[in-house]
Amino acid sequence: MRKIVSIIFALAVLQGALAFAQGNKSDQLNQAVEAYNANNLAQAAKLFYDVKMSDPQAGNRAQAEYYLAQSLFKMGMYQSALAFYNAVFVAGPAHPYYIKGAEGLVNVAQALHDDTLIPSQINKYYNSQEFAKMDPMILSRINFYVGLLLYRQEKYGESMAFLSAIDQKSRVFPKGLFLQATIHIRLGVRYNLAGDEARTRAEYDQAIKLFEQIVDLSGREEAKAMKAIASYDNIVRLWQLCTLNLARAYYGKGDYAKAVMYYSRIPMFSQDWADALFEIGWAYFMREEYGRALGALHTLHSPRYQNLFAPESWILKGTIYFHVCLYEEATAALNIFKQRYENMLPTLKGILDAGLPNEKFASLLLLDKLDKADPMAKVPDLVRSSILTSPRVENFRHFLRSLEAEAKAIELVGEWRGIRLHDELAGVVTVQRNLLVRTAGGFVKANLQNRYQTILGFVGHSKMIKLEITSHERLLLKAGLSIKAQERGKLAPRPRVPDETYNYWPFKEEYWKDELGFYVYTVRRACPAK
Amino acid sequence: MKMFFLTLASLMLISAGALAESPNERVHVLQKRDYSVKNKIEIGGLFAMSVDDIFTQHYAGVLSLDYHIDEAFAIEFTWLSCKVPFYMGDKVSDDPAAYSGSWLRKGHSYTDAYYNIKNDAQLSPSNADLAMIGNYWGLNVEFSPIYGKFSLFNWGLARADFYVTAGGGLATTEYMRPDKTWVDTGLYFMGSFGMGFRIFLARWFAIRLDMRDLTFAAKVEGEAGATGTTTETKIRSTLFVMLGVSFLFGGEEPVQIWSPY
Repeated sequence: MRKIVSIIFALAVLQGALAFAQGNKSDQLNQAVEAYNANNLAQAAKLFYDVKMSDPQAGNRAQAEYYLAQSLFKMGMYQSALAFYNAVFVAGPAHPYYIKGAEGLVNVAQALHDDTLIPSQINKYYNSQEFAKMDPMILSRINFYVGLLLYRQEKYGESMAFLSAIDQKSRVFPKGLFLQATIHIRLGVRYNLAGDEARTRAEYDQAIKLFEQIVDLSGREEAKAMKAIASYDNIVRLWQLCTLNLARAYYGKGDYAKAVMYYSRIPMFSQDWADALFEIGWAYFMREEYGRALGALHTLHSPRYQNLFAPESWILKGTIYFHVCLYEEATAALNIFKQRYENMLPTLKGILDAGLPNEKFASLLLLDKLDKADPMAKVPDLVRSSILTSPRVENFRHFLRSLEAEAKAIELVGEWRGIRLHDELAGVVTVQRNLLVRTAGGFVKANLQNRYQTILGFVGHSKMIKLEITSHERLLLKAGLSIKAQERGKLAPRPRVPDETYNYWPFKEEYWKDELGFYVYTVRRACPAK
Repeated sequence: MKMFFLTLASLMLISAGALAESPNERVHVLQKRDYSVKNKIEIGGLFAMSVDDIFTQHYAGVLSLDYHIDEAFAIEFTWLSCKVPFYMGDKVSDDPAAYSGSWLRKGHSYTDAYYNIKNDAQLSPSNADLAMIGNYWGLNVEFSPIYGKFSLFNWGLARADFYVTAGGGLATTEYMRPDKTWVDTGLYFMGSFGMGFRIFLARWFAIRLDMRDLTFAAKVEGEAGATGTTTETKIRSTLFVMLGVSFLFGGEEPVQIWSPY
């Protein structure tokens, strides 16, 4: 009996202690909320963390977890916030802050310019039923991120489903349209390779329609454009890209006249101009306007673009010369390709085959100056600069800068010194930094691989053209004609000046900045009469 | 043709390898003009000075008004003024050499050569050689067959039009007698030939450098003889160098299409 009494007594004491503890934790949560409302965010985070770690009530712990993330987000510690938003999100719909956690992830993705890691996490736990309760603008952004991720994974059908679910009022609506159009282009290329002309045209038509829809958002006039700029993310860049992509789509369709028209609209010296020059070269080639095609390449091969990675431009040049039977010139162009690009292959292969872990590749992207001992210092300048022009590079760099700033900020918060929160956040940032370095390294490695394969592919083209040249020269000799082009035909006259609003200048081995983009070649008519 | 007045190599970077001259091709530049002048009206203000007269020195203000028919041809009205037109000033009664309103002849003076001959050798050049242009109103046709561009170091690029001009108009001339009284010789027809170039610094603004030769038959009093004073006629030509600025209006402004770039 005495034993029973003592047990009952002990239970009563324990219950009392628990009740006291509960009351104490509830107070702590209230204090944390008060600190949060008073914008004393470091203190709030500390208190929320305590509640999250030790409150016996699951509801309190969940609330504390979410508000801990919110406090950190408001402090600009996005990576730390991400860890707790992610915990809320991964807990699933059972977590009372599940939806808000997902929204938090989206906000962090925006703040960190992360279009890779967070979208991948959201995609993994995507719950369409629960997400339907979300603010449509946030949901649209999630759909865009997931669509982008799936697009990169070449899951075009699934990507389209997410992208077409983006709300028209969302800031990412034009981006979604753009990505859909890009998918149509990719599909068009696929069908084209498969020889399915009807589906190729249908895909390109769809793409053109979507690009036009994006351009239409501007109303094609300044006043409306200003409104659109205020309403949508990156719309100006999208309009620029639409011009280039409309040209590409018309090229894909085989409408070279329209392709030339759109390529010509890309302003000189703009960031898309080099691409436009190269591609318009192909469009002119397809129209058999060889002089103009060579003229476009002349600008691309000018000192302005001496650091541009454009191996195909030399192949195109060689091909054009081959078509007009200027075999010496074709060989010269292919030799330049060999000297500038083919000779890079052993270096690139050496780097790629060295079995370096992904982290070792990251320095190319994340460091402005490379140490001589760094394997990335061996990457040829042309290749390095081509990788660094990718818009994703700035995202990686932004992310890294943000992580480094956050690591410093964590050390500076006095309230967190010596407590577990400090260690956990510092750990989160370190882990994320390592992950980022690995991801960035993977990106560089994939790009190096891509450049290597690209050059290798064109080496094959180059050899084919050289073979054709030899065989054509043999035919010339058989027919009793001279191999030297100057003995086979007349030089075409200089091009006609369209009207008095044009100036004519002969090119005398001097590049004048204002003349870039206006070159036209005339070539000797060296093909033997058939 | 490019005119390389001040061109230095900074704009011209030679790309090795890519530029091997081939006898089988020519590279041309067909460039849309930056500065179209077609249908534009150009108003210019220039300062002019004569450079080839032995005895006379002119300084003039020039107002020019050009209408550019197309890129090559223009019609130009010119008013060159060395003194206030149609106003001789009043002689100061007690000093026949002095005139009230002496400022009106600020653009006229005789050279040291004139005074040396007159004072040292006690000689006087003929009145025809002393005739000075007061004002000239003329109409010219301007033809610009040559265009060019140049750059000084790498400070941007300037376009230039080189032109020749011919025309004629009316001028007033006057000269000073040995007794220092001024004689107005009336209105003359005057021929004008010249050349120059304008450097466009903007679509609407240019610097102009001109040379104009104004030729006229100076009819002046000759030496006094038994039958009275004879009339002497001499073909005179005066070369002016002009420097100024001009502003261009109207014409077809380039259509400004809003571009996201």
